[in-house]
Amino acid sequence: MDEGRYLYAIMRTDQEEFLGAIGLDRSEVWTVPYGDVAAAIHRCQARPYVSEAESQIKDWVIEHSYVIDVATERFGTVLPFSFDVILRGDDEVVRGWIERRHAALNSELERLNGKAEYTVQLFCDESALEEAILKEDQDLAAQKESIKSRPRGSSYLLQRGVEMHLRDAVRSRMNQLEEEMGRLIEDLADEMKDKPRKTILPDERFKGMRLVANICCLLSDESVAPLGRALDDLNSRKGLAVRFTGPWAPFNFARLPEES
Amino acid sequence: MRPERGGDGIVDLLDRLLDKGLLLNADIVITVAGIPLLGVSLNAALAGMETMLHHGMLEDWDRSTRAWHLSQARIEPPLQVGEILFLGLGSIWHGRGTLQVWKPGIWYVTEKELLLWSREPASVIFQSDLSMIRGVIGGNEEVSLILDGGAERIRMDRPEQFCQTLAEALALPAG
Repeated sequence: MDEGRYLYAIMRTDQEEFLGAIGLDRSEVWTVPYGDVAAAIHRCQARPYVSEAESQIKDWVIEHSYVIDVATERFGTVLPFSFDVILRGDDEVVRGWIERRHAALNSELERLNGKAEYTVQLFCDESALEEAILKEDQDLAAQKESIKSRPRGSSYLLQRGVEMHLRDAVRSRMNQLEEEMGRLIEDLADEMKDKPRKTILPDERFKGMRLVANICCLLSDESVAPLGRALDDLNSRKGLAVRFTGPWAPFNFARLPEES
Repeated sequence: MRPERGGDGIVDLLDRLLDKGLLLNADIVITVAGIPLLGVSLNAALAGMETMLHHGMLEDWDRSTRAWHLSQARIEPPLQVGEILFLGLGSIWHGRGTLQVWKPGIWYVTEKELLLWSREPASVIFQSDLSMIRGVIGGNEEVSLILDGGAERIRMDRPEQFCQTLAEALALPAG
């Protein structure tokens, strides 16, 4: 079996350095520099890490992420690799790989220097939103109230109407909230991405709430606190909860040049 | 409020590490069906989350994510009418020009044709009517496809089944 190099991240250093036995399955992680750009790697066989066991994959993902964290702490913002990216060959192949892209990697490190990735998710409690809408819309509230006093049967259509009206109002309120949060972030972020509304397993705080907005953004270090303050307002409103995570390595924003 | 990474952070990690981050375009190995595909274009969506989900590696990890994934609209390959006889991950050797790579995709063997489909970007990597295929030679890691104009080197996750299916399909009356 050929030898290979498992890649964790690209960072700014001209030193070949041992970062510790902190890699996948406690592999020894080294930096392999070319000029002032280096890759964090461990030596392995040119064979991907594959497992049927979730717990194993989870462990590997955590280990990979830990190496990225260590490298970030030591060298500043890194360009993180996806899980299981392995170069076939030895350290020289890694050096050659960096050499061929040196200019692009260099400018990418420059661009992302002092920045990190964050995710902001807005969750909302639909029933609280409904309540708030009924409080503001007296007509709707009155209609809803009047249903109770009518005989069963005759109230059915009216009830449907009120429900639909309310649902529309909730939906448009959610859109407004999404836009509002988008604007807050846009003002402070260098770059942002609307992430697909994937079901993210939320912690207890967000149980039963609905994900209204899910935005990934690139923030300069000095913009983190201001964004946190701006989100405080949203987070403190009744029925709303903000999940603000990070800092992460710029997984969603680091780019490699296209190979010709 | 301050950003945090605690608690349920593993979900955010998986989301990033399996689905995002730098990918390479050459001289690499990625996880596809337990076989090393060397020098594939990692921009192909077969890497990362998709691969894991495809193989059920995250089966019990997050069913809802999986369901979401499966529900995403995707472009289907332009198959001619005919029953799909074999479906599996694999790749084809692209040895022309300066970029020598295994291009990954999904193999379809139907009653009419053999096709390698890339989901992202949605494109046909290889297509041949069965009538143009002269034979198929199985190997340990690699399969040789004998065509009118020459041979192609291909790989897939279940080469034995692939060869057997294709051989049987080739014996079908051309139609």
